[in-house]
Amino acid sequence: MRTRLRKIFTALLILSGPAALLVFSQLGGNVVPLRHVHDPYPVFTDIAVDPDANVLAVTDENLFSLRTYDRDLSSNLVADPRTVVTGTKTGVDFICGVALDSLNRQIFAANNDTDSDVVVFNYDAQGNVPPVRSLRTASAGTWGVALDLTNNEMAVTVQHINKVEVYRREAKDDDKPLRIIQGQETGLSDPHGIFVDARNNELFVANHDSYHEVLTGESERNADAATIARGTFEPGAQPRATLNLRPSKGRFVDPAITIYARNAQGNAIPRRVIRGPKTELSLPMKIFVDTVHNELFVANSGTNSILVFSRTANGDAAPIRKIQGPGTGLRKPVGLFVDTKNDEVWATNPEDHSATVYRRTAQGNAAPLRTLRGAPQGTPATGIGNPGGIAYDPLREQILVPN
Amino acid sequence: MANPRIAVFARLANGNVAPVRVIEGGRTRLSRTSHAIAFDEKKDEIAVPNPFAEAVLFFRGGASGDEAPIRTIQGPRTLLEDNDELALDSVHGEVIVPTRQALLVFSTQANGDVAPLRIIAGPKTMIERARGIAVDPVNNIIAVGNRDPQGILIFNRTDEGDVAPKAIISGPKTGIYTTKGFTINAERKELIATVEARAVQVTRNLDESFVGIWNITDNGDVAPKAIIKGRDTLLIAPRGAALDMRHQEIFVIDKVQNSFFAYSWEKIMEGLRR
Repeated sequence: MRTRLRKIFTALLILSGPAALLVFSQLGGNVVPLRHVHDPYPVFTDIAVDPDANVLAVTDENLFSLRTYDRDLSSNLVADPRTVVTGTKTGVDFICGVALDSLNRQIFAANNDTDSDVVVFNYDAQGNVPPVRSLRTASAGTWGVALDLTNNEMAVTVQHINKVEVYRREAKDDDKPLRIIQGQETGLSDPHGIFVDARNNELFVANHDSYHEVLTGESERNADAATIARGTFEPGAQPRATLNLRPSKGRFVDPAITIYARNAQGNAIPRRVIRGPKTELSLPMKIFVDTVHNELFVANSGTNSILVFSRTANGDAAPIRKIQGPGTGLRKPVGLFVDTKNDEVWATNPEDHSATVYRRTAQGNAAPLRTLRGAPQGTPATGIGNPGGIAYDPLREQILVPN
Repeated sequence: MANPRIAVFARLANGNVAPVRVIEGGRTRLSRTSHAIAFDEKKDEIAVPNPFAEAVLFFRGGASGDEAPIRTIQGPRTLLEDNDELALDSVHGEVIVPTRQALLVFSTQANGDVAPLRIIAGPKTMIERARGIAVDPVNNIIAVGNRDPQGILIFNRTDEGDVAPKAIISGPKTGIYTTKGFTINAERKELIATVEARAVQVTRNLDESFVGIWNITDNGDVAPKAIIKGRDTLLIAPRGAALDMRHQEIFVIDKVQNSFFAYSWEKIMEGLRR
């Protein structure tokens, strides 16, 4: 009976489409906004560098673009990109993580939210062009992407379901991961940055403080949100979810860097966990292991800093140095890259439309060597990213927007 | 932006402006993916969900910077799961949190591991991946967006258990593919819903998604009585909506535009058809 009703409804929807359009055309409503709060400039999220090719790539989650620049660009003006990949053909959406394949001259970038694909472009891709290939890593919430060119693999983090997925580097479409890390023992919680240290056979993940229990192998519980977003949802085509109210298992944990064997899989216990008050970790985003000098770099968004740890740090370990202070230009850094060839460390500052670069060994209130600007210096940033809610505070006559 | 935060803008903000204050930092316990926010005018508080920690956070209305919540609903008894939205009833002191198949109602005074006051759930409710929610404390209804049937389910505010909705707005005339955000004009007995057009997040076309206004007494396959729709609106993928009736304005936030818009309510009402 229910199926028949659905079929009748679908038929009515098709048949009465023109009627519905007629009704809507009579309603008017094409109203010009009184005001429009919008940032017209690119907001740099993640960053990666190929020093041999002198290429720097950034993701822009505000205008949905993937940009490359000359690595050694030195100007305080708005930087002129080498390439800009943007548009509906590109698959670039709410783009977050980025990694460069220097051997094959390709850019890997991960979309977050409900268009959660990893898209791959050649270095010279320009404009509204399709990717060389794309991979559906998760239905929602992919954030970080890391390449392991030694073992020809790629790894991603999936925020929503506390998961790491490792694929062949050339995986595409609906290819399955070679292995995953997921489960109660893994210590994964709202994971963001990821790095594969092929030299020491380890995999590093940056975790935030919001934890909910996800079992090994569990898929996105709201996968239908992604089908709706992509426009492929049909009423009645999917089985109804069963009511499953269960004791909530969410809790807050300390932010942490979890370190696993490179080939760990399943409900793997981390080899080491950097966590505790001495670490100063707060909303850690991108991480990078400098295998030449055996150091771990963290874009520590919560304290406007870059933290540097020993590569083998464990437990409640203090950073061995940090870049932090008003002169650094660091503003809620998200992206990070260590360029050992040029002895530099890069960070992105989304709230300043900029990426700043420092001596690798810089510490304290160190001024950047150069600043890559996506907008004129001092341009305000709305900071609105992938918004969902809005509320009005009539007491203060203010508008509230969460990310 | 990748950082979890609540940005607060002046009512008359326009163009590329920075927020007047921001609630952000490790103490706030905010995550991203908070798809709703509510302001409690009576208590001068902000309520926001954190789905990744299965929590509901309450902040002072004037909170700023790295400020901790004043209360947090979280724990096994709460039954919270996938709770990325909420609606707040400041008259009766309740916060309503949709999960995938249920509506959980808590006291706004709740703190810690507390059970819901009421639960609306079960096959009769037809709740299937609730998306978008609003509560009207004057006319005593809860409106919730629904995946299947695609449309809006309307319950009595005090409903509990496995109850059928009192009305369902669904069908081809409604124009609904998926609803995203709701607000209610209690005085005018109107329900405002943002409606995302099919695949618009992929095509990014203007002129397809819309904001629809229905009477709260509507039921069945009913077209909205007024809409905000068209190229001039700049809407692509509207999400949340909020009203400021003192200044006769409606605010709508858009996921693809990474922007919010203020529209004249009077201008919208010029298009009223019933």
